[in-house]
Amino acid sequence: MNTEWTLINPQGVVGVEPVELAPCIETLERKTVLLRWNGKPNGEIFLNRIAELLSEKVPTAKVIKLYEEDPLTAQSGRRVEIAAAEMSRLATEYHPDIVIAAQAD
Amino acid sequence: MYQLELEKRGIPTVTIVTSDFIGLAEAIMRGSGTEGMSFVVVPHPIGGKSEEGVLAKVDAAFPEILRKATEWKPKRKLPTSEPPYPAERFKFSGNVEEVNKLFFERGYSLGLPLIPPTPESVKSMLKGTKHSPDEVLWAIPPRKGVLTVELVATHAVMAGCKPEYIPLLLAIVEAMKDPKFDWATQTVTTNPTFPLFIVNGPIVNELGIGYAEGAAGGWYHPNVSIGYFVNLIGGIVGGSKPPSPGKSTLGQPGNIVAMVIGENIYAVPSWEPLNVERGYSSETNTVTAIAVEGISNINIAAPRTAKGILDVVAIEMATIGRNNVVMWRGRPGEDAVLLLSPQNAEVIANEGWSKKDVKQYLFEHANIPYEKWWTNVREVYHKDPWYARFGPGDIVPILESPDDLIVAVAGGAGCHNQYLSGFLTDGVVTKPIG
Repeated sequence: MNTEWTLINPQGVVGVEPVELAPCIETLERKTVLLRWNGKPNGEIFLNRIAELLSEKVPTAKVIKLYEEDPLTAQSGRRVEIAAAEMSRLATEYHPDIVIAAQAD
Repeated sequence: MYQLELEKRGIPTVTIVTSDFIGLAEAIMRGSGTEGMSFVVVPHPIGGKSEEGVLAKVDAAFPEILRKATEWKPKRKLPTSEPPYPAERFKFSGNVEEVNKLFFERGYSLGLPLIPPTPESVKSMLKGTKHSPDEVLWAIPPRKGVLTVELVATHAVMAGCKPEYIPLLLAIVEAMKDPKFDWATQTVTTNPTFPLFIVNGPIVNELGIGYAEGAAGGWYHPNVSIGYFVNLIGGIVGGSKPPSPGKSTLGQPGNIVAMVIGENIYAVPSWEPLNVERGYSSETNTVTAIAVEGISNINIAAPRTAKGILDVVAIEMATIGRNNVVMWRGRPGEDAVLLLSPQNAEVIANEGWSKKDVKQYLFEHANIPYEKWWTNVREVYHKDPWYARFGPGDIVPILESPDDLIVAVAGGAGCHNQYLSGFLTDGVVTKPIG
């Protein structure tokens, strides 16, 4: 037998305001490209190859491997908010024009 | 999360994500307001592949990486303006089974039966608290769904809780949202972590929370319904659902019904209960929340002395497949939980040992040879100061201090104890129950 229900949606509204994303750059020529690794296996191999390819294809770009400059930035497992704020502070110290990051597994 | 911090600082990013993690990446972006961030997808996985295999993936993806670095123009969305209270009401015609089917199809259910949340049942549930239903408690990650007191009551109805459980549910929410508990990471990790809640104080008996035989195995209404409530709000309001953004490789039952137990304070009355250890009086109702990886049963089959029992425990703690043994050592916070059976706890206490003595002994004796430990330590940690101080021939401690271990007595008759290694949050959180 059917019942006529009035039910409450248990999901809740999403309470997120959009963040203004950084403006894109139009070229990598003479730009500082910072490579960031999250510490997951083989991520550094991936990023090292990107560094090689950038030096071939965009030789005027300056490539910085953050994970070699500061290995602690590559450690996964730290509380996300603390690590994120700390890592972004370090990243701005190198004045990158763009960051290329290898994420997840 | 890291890249969004950079975007906020005016630095554009390109994130490389493997195909199995696109859903998680998109969920994190939605939950952080950074929809539109640039990312490049490569076939999963990168980890575990040969170097040649990884290089081939980079070479194939590189043109796209270059393009995204210089040509990406994100589409922007307008902010939401929906108020969180009252929650949406909707009509449905059908029986209870069909309500459950509808809820599951809409993502309002984890798949277990639930009680349909009607306005009348939620109003009745709200009699368990003096908090106003429109009070906003938490935006639960990764989805950042806004949890109000009304929604707590809604999920309490769904889980089959009673109104008198609401104060404990609210304290659990406070514990879960504590930055130390790091629920955000727990919801998106590949680790099968689940929360353990240990309740102390007179509320254990008042609500009938199980602390003795089978307390973690069902049949105790508050333990089961409250554990179910935890994963309902995490999965439905927080949106932590597999395959994305919930990425637990396999998961475990604690991801459906969290582990909720009382501490068995009657087995060894001379030992300080957990609420006292955590700075409260024994009469203060508290809930202690820990993110744990799983349960190791420790059957004390032979030893009849305190040292004999704890030597077996120490051996069990010293395995290399656990986060708290190989991952990011040297950070603050409690690492693990030992739930001693009353029978074994009595043997230990009768020899004059306190909980503090137990922790000290395990700190000194739970260790692992460097050569064995190093086989599962990721290269990224090799230059970390905490790791770099050990070398061949050394013994590596499992705990960084005696206080890294939570010890409590739980369960009934028998010699089975449970060791639960910690996931990797910043420690244990204890909240009073108001």
